Amino acid sequence: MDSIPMKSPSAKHFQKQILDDYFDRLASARDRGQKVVYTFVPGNLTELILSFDLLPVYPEVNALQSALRGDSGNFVKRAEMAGHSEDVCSYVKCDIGMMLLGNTGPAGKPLPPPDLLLLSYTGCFTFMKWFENLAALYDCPIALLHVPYQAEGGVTPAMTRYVVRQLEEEIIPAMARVSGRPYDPEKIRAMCALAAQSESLFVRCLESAQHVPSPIDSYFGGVFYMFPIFTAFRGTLEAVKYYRLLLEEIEKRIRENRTAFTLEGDLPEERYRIVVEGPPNWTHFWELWKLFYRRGAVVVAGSYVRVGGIYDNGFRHDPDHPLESFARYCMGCYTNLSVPARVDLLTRFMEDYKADGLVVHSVKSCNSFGAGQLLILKEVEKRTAKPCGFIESDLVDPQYFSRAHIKNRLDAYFQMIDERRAYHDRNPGH
Amino acid sequence: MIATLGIDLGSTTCKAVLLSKEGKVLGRGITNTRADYRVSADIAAREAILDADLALLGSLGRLSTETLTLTERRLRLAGFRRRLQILHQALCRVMDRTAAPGLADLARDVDKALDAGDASNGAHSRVLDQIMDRSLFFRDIALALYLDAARLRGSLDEETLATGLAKALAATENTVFSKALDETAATDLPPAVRPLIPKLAAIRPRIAGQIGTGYGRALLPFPETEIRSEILCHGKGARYLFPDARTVLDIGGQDTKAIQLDENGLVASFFMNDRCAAGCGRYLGYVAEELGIGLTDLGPLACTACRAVPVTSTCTVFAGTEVRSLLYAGEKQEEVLLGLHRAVVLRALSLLARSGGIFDALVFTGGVAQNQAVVRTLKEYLAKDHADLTLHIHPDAVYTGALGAALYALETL
Repeated sequence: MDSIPMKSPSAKHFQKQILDDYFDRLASARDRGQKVVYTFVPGNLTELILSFDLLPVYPEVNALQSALRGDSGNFVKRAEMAGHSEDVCSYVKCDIGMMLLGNTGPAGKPLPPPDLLLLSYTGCFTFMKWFENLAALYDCPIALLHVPYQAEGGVTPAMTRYVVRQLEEEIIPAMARVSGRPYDPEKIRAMCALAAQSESLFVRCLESAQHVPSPIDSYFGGVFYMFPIFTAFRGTLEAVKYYRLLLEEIEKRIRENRTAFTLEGDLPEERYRIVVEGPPNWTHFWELWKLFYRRGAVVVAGSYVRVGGIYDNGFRHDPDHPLESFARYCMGCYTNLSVPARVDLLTRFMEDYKADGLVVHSVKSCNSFGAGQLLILKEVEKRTAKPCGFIESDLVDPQYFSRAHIKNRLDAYFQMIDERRAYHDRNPGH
Repeated sequence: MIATLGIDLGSTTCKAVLLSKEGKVLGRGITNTRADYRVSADIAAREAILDADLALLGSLGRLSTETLTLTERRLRLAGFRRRLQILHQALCRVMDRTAAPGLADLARDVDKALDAGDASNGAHSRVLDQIMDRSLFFRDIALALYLDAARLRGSLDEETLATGLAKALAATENTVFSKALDETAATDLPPAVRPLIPKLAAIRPRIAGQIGTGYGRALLPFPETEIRSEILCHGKGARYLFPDARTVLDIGGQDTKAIQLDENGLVASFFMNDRCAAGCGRYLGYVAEELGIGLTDLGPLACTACRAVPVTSTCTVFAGTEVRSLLYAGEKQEEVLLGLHRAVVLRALSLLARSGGIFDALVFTGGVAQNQAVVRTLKEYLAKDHADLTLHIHPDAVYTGALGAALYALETL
């Protein structure tokens, strides 16, 4: 892939530029004869897809972007008209509704139908049912990569071999068939080297939030930082350039001792440093963010910006062992971790990021995140002795967001932190 | 003397607690929450001040309990009559002109009923007992008086009158007119009390701090610094009432809260019901309305049952239709009602489980803690799984949030 010339020095503008270019290429893919692969974000195989000159489409990202634009409610209803029950994941219904209503993508341009559905099963059973539905709707082949769950809290050599064998015997041949190209080990090696560079830069961006005050919000702001690395750009020069620009901007903020950026400028005062577990609500994303920053709360770390893959423990794509590193990457994504491993990770974040507490956002749609969240909350609370709060809504079905209820819980939660501070001020040593 | 005021503006009732600087409860006030939250808070606060005044009078003049009770009866009756006048005027405005003569007759009948109660002078009078009962409010008593009078006369269509009364009550309730003791006409008060009134103003505590909490706290006429979450207030209030409190269950009008306190009494975590008020006070209130039973009669009626018919606890409205279906199917009313109360308890226990369980002593607070069928059922379930547990229910359980708010206000002094 050719590198896009950098027109603007701002990371935000550069991201927009590369995303616009990506959606243009998607819109014209059919005319140009370029083949398209639909796939999922957690444990994605972006380098492999791009190396075959295939274009990836991420239905989850389309769904969340539809919700940000205010379209998801209609899409969900359309899917329910087609027979999907109220209890089905709203990402699925939003995606199917969008397809049934013309498949216009987030950039307002039509999305091409898939030539291949690459189903990497990373702890989410709904993914399987989702693509089974898409396979029927699009009359399109599926390649299934079964990713073993880290039930014992780690990855064994046998697990890695199991995934590599599937890549060699099923996934790579399926991509070769669809693209009409052979597997190119040199290209993959080069892309893995670029991926590793992006990943190191991305980690440095996220770790900047350990600084007090945090120069970034790692959840509401962070979701924008994670797009290039978890969607169509990891393994490209664009992603490296983007994260280099982003890191420069963040480091400048640290030098200037600036607080996190919000919708209304810099946070006037950093009063609470919070770790958040769970994906955001996308239909009322800005409202939810306001409920945090208007109280002076900044999210310093969270699981969601690691939903595609986790780099905090040192994992990088490996140019010398690309397939093994794909396997380890897929197995290491957040929703494929055991609950104790998630507790360990969040507890570490609480300490490393000097957090005042944990907020769990439980979404009705997602069992991959939801299962174990209560246990996670109690364990983190026990280990850190920091207040943990619980709020509930959904991913992209607007009817499940209740601002009044969430505000009520967050009010109580932040006041719990205040009360503890006041108690410790009155009783030093406790 | 200085004091603090805590206001807990709930979805059903608004509570107020007046607290001395030393942390002693001076007075409690309660009223039904009405459309105008400012009026709700104001009336609850005035009730608490009146309650404190009565206690002060007792200490000023070494008055007997009988005299104090009589004073309170006189005050409440006088206040009730004034509200009735306003209600009557509002009723004449909202109802058809042709109904005016009939309404005048009803007003006279209602007055006579009150006169009879007043003349009993301490002897048993149903209407005066109701006026003195803190769990009944003006709207409940006035509505019953008017409808009873209309029924006896047979002059006005009951449904038309009930609709008119609902409109007139809304207008009446949103008017502030309850007076402080020293503004009350001396003739309303027993002779032993009259000379003490001028002294009252000198020793009445000055409210030096206030905190508002509850469902409607954002709409209280308080600055933001004087607003606290009900979670913290209930936790603090419960710990004040029971120093060994670790887990607090609060069932109010629209919220059920499970609150865990740490060893220092600080809120460690909390869980609240989401999306539906099933299992809360409104759930019981809704079914009571559907069946035409008074809310306070619901618990005693359920307690007469020997068995409970299972009722769902996931949705208030579905529970209403389910109760009707069960009754049509021939189930006994009291047994269905016991099932309904069991559903409330099961939902609360599920919330407690999600919040981490019950530790050492469970404090049950909120309006529903006054419902004997809920309390009895809760005890039965706790006996099965938590035999060594202490269950605390304070007579002032409904004021826990307001008490916590007043305690927070003390910290700001």
